[in-house]
Amino acid sequence: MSEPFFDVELRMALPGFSLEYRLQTDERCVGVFGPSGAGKTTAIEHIAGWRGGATGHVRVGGRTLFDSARNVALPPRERGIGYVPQDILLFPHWTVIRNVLAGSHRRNGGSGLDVKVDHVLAMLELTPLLERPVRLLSGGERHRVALARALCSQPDLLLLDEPLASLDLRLRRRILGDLVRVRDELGVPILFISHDATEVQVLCDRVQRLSRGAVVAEGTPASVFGARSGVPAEDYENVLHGEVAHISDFTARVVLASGHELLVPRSGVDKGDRVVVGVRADDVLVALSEPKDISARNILPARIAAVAEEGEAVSLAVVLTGGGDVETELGVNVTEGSLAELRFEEGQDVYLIVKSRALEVLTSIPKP
Amino acid sequence: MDGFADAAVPLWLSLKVAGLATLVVVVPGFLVGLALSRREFPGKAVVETIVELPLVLPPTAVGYMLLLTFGRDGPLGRDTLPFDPGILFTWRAAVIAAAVMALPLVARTARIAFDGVDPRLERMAASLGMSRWRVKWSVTLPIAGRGLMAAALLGFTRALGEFGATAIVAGNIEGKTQTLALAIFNDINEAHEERARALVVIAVVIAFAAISLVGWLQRRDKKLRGEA
Repeated sequence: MSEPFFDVELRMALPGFSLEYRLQTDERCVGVFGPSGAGKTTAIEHIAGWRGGATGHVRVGGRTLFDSARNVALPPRERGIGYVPQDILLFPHWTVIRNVLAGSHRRNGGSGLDVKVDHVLAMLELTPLLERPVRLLSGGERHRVALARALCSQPDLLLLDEPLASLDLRLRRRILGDLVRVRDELGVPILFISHDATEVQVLCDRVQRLSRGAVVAEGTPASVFGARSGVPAEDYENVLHGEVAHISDFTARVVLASGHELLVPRSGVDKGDRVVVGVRADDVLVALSEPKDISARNILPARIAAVAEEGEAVSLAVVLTGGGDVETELGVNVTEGSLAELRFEEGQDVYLIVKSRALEVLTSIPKP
Repeated sequence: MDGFADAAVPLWLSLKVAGLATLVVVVPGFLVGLALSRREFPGKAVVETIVELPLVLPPTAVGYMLLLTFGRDGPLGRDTLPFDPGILFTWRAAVIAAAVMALPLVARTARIAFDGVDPRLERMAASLGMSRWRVKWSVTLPIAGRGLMAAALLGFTRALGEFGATAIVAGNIEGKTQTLALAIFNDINEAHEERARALVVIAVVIAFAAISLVGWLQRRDKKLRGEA
């Protein structure tokens, strides 16, 4: 049996609680989700070699970076990690291009990755800023420079700590799209820390939820955040991946991996773009029979997979039916009153109703 | 204006001595400042105390210790070394005295400059693959740069004003070891008021310029770090 790509086990005492962090998976883009103070940053700064004091091991792609039992602790310089910390840490005395190239002389750690500086600069739209001193950059520009710097150091692993936290919505969308491109075009493995469930779902195939230093849930985004996860669902946003099949002046028709179609506001996308669409669990309606003569543009056949009640909040896990092999699961919030009247239960066939205006394009990746 | 013409010799000697003393003291001063800022080591408090001693001891006491060190049978004297270092009562002794007296100020100010460099920036540099020396050379030093320039400048002014220790190890030999500070003392004792006044004016001008420059460096530094 071969080792998983990520094989991490860290234990350390922190003020007030102890950190017990584990990650064993072959997925290469993992989201670490949890409230602030849960130990997320501590865990990844240990992976980066910025902190000491833990026992356990860190192996990435078969390479041992840390193993307390064997007394191995590579210094940060030898770990081959591109880290974008929350405080960005650009070198204040240098221009954009000097910052970006700060790690470019590093020899490849063996990942076989060959990141081209020009490609990164173009992708992150930094080319016009190259000679600018970094202290004159805006917040979003600083993030992009930090990301470019990490990428151009040819990392074997990218650690991103809340890279979008301090940005406004528009920029967050924009950089989230950049990250998806980094993941897909460069193939860099990513550990992505965030306290935003939507961001994690857009980017990551596997998610961990941390609470007070321990991994309390792990799995696909739907299993960690969905109706069956036990996570308070009131702010839950479903994240759906698809491709734009058709556009008109104001709307775009998006085909999901499961074959279902959604009509969404156009919001700048073009035919062929890959898009990530968000819809809040509160914004999806459930009907027992197929509704007729209704203004909502999206009516989807589905089956209830689970009903979770927590006080007066009820959330349903619903799987779209009549599609292909790929399952699309949505979380839907209903009230206790409608549960009592309509008697939703597992296995029941229903129809989901979503106004196009309730669907939002979270990020789009233009057709190559 | 005779006073100013006569001031040329001690002024030139002072600039030479203080300039060389600054050159001598910056490397150890910066290294000590860096070590005190970045490292925890056993005996750190002792090192801190020794470095700061010249700041609190009477300069004449420091001078006497240097005299013992470089005296004939001292650890660096001609009977101990295989050759005669020829230091005492020359301008070289004045340089050493000034350097020792300037060390605490240089080390202290350098430490503050290094304290101002976020250690996380150094870790970032290391994560990007830079060697330890490269991190210091291309990240720590330039970011601390203005503070270090201020440290050197303060060391220079301290060296320029050095009196007590210099008088003991270098003497007060006109034209050879009589620096500006010693010349003022001499002129007042011997009632050469004109030159004394000229020397004081020069000293005030130099001090004024140096302090303004240090203030400017420190303000610029803050601005660069986005604190102002």
